[in-house]
Amino acid sequence: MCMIAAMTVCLTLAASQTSDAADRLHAMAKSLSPVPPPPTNPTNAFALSPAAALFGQRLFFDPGLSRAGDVSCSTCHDPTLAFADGKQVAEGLNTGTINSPTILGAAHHRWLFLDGRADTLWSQALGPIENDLEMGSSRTDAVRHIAGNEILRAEYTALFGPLPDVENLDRFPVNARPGRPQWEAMGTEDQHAITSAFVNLGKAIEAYERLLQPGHSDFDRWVASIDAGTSSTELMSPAAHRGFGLFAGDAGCRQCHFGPMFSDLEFHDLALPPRDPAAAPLPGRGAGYELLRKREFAADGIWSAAPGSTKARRAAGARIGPEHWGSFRTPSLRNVAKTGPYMHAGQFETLSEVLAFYNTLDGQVRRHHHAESVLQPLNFTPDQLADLEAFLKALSGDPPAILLRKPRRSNGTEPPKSAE
Amino acid sequence: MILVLVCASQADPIGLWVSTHEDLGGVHAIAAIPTTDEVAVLNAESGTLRMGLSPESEILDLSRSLHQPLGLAIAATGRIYVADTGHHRVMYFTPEGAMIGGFGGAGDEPFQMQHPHAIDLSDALAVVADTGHNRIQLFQIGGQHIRNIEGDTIGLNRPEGVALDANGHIWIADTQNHRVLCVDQHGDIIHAIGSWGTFPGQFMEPSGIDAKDGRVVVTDRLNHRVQIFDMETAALLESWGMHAVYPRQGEGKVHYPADAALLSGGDVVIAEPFEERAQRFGTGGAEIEPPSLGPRGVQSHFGPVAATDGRFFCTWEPELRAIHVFDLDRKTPLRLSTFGEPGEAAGQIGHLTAIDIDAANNRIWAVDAGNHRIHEWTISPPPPDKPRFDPGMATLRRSVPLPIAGPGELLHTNDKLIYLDQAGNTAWQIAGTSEHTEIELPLGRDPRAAVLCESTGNTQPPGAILDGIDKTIHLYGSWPPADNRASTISLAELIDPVDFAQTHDGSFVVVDRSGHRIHRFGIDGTHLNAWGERGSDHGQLWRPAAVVVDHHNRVIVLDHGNHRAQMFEPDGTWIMTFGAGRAWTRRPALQETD
Amino acid sequence: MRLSTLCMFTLITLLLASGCAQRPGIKDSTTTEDGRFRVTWWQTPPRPIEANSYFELFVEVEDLTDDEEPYDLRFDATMPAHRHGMNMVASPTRFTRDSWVVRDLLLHMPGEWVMTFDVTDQNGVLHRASETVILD
Repeated sequence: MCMIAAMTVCLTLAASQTSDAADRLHAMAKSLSPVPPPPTNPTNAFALSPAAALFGQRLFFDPGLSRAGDVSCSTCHDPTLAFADGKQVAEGLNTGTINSPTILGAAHHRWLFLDGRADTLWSQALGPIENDLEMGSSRTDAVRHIAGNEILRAEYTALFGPLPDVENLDRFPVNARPGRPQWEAMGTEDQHAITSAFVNLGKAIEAYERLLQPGHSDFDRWVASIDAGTSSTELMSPAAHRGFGLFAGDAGCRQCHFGPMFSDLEFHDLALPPRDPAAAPLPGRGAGYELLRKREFAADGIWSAAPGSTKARRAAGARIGPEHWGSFRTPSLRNVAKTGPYMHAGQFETLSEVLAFYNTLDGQVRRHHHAESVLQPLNFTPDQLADLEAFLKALSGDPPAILLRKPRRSNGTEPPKSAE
Repeated sequence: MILVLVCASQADPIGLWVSTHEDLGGVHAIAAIPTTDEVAVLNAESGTLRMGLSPESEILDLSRSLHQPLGLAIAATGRIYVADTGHHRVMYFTPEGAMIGGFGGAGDEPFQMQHPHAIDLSDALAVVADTGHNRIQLFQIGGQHIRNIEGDTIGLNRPEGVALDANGHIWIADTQNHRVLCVDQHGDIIHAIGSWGTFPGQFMEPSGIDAKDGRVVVTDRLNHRVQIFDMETAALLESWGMHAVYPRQGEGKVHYPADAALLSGGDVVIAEPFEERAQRFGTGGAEIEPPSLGPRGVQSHFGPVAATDGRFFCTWEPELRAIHVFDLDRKTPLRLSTFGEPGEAAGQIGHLTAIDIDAANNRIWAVDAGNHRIHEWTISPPPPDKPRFDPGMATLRRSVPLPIAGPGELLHTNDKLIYLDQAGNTAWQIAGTSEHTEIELPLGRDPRAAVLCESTGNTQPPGAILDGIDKTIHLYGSWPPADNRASTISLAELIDPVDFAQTHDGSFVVVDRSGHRIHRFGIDGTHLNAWGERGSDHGQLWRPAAVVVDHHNRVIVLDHGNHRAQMFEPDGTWIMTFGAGRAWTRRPALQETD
Repeated sequence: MRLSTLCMFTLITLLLASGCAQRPGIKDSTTTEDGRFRVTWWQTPPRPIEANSYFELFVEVEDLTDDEEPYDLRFDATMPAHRHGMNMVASPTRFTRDSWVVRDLLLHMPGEWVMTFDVTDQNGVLHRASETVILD
């Protein structure tokens, strides 16, 4: 009788411990799902405007914003590739040095670009248009492109009011953008008018990009079933379930990949092997911070709709430390199975390569002998790595199809190409 | 291949290793010789100047005029200018080495100096890094004072390097601000480069600097590398060097570079006093090996300060700006904590020059010459029978301003904390407030270290001070000492005595840094024994920097150049070698233990 | 008025109106290591600090020995095991002679954080009070 009682106590304790572990895992799961709406952005008065989003969607897919009319935002953020590009590093007009991140869920990030050089989504959207590695155009030509297209002009005007008289090439020269003599030759008011219109393009693109939320994944469906009290384990594979246990436990992924976006939204240096050992090391957040401080389109700047907002104040309070040099923003793991190659310079082609790196840290580069790394090799078995990978693959989910293409409402004419 | 980190604007990287020149002694200063396009290297410890890098080069003995000289410049006429650091002045000599004159001198007048570390020249101008006064002094070439660029106007913090470029601009290695400045001759800043860190373009204690032919070269001491900048744009052109993987490794590996000279053809020669060598780099150099991106395990860069009390031994690691605390009552010393926030704000660690620990009251103090403060921590050590590493073991208790904070010695008695400030040649009784009391002590001319003697009998003097210039230990009958010197111990046979401690039998162990040896003297001055030789094996030493005696009467030597500590019996028998993460001992057998 | 500003305004108003008897929010208190000052803080929003979630502190400093006006207060938070701190600069704003508001604080990673309140007295001496926070 005593033995039965003791066994009962043991079994009850074991069941209780198992239940506690499951409860902890469920609590952890619920901290990761669902994806909430992105935080508000008071610096963009058009962020929630459906009309601006439609206009922004049109701009996103429009190569007319590039110098030669052949590169659009969607070149490097391809909706068929979860808004990444499948390439090691970005290739616009020229080849860059940084991997193109997905923009699914980008509106959740407090810092934009992998080095955090922008503090709002609208200011991020403006960067590539004038970057010679990417779209290589100018703000003046971008605005002229809008003015020259009937649909774009109509939508812009309805949203933001009249455009500057960009057909006047004496006042608004071709290729005019800051740093170029054509720009310096322009009058201050004309410069202001162009920049104001240019900023509006960015704000419209943000309105569209805010809609690009990661879709419901198998993981989200399982978490929803927990909430519903069913905990339908069949919604994820057994391997994915085991992988989630590792993810939330021994793998330590949660140190940086936590919250609904599976990212702390901040910057870390994993001492990754460089893509090109002979090339200069990438400064990451170190340089990104300096660019942020000098940025024309800052959240607390004159082009912001709310320069005194909490968001703007927080962005201005960013700190730079020695640990930030060489660090890059923690990527979201949502849709990670679709967004290879991986890491800031596309160092790894596949997820299994990424996990193999974490497993051994082979090839890890210490820039200096006294550099310390918090990372420790996982030393997992192949089965455990496979389970982790299965879990990561359960994080894929597409946004609504209507957002994945150029809007159909169009007059059918191709936009004119900007003059060089 | 030398690690060339940034060479975007350089078709031919210049950071290729050309040659290594060894056995040069404590070569803290190096300068181009305009008449020969060779370099001269100054041995700070012997006071000799070698007019070239080859073994056959002429050697000028300037030692009669100099003490610990750290700066060198040679005029177009061949006249030799030396920053005579230990005497707080500049001396100049004929090309043959005959002393002509000098300027400066100890004091706080505008033309006086405190431990000047560097000098550079143009045809008409001499600029001096007046390191201890945190300023740059401008003189006419003959020594007439022109003006100062005061540190408080541009925020200098112990500048150790200075160079004049062809535009007449002054480049400053602003050492404890971890940056390089370019200013005009009135102190207006033209360029400010860098911040504390390891990334190319950042610095950790920039030390030497030279400017020539459109380039500026900087020795980045704690990053063990050399960086080259464009003189006009201040853009980083190139950065090379990496800490040695193996002891004494050269051929492109760089170790604590102190100074650099640019030659007319663009080659760079650097001085590495730690390795007693110089290395030459240039476009015509050899590609010797792939970049070694940093070994694991070379992480015990113990700084030149140490203290022990009870079961604790503490030192600091300048590269991390952190303090290590070890438990000595283990089979091998066990690291209990590494703590300290790096930074320039109050309460953060800049550059420590002295440390002390009080085991009975769980206190650690450190003098921070970088941030001009003395910090006090409370420690919560684990019980002796349950030791464990705890990065949160120490909590900052107070951080008190200490305006004069150069190298020195920190001592605590039951009720007093005293700092012997070697730079100011003064002693301060530290208060809990900033109102410290300057106290009159017969410090001698170069008070490098002091001990409060163990109470082992009536014959023991209460305290002793080591004078680096006189090479003497002065024993005093009271502490704090009045001018009642009881006796002296001569250290004349030592090359560079830098620290000492007292064993339990009353004898003194003295560190001879340049001699790479430890000497033990009886209280009556008798030389009892000595041990150590230059090398990296167990029992050998490489530029030892500090010594303490623990409560087991074991002599712990901070073997600075080998990045480790070693423990000996007072008779010189080696007991063990240890670092932050490992130890070797023959007790019971030679083995590695964690 | 923005929400956070409103929250802080409300908190401060309540603090002042209550005569420090019944204060809202989570309150915590400690003394500096040397016992000179007592540091008391209230947290907004009034809930446990979460990893990567902004919060604000209202901090009061009391001189326990001299009743002297503190010269300054600095706040920081570091992760001793990682040897780094926050990714933002904490800028306390003085509210009264003995109180400060510290906004936009963000402990961006889970793990052990040490919050430090550095009180500088009129002599320039820094006195530190600290509190360990462990975030899941």
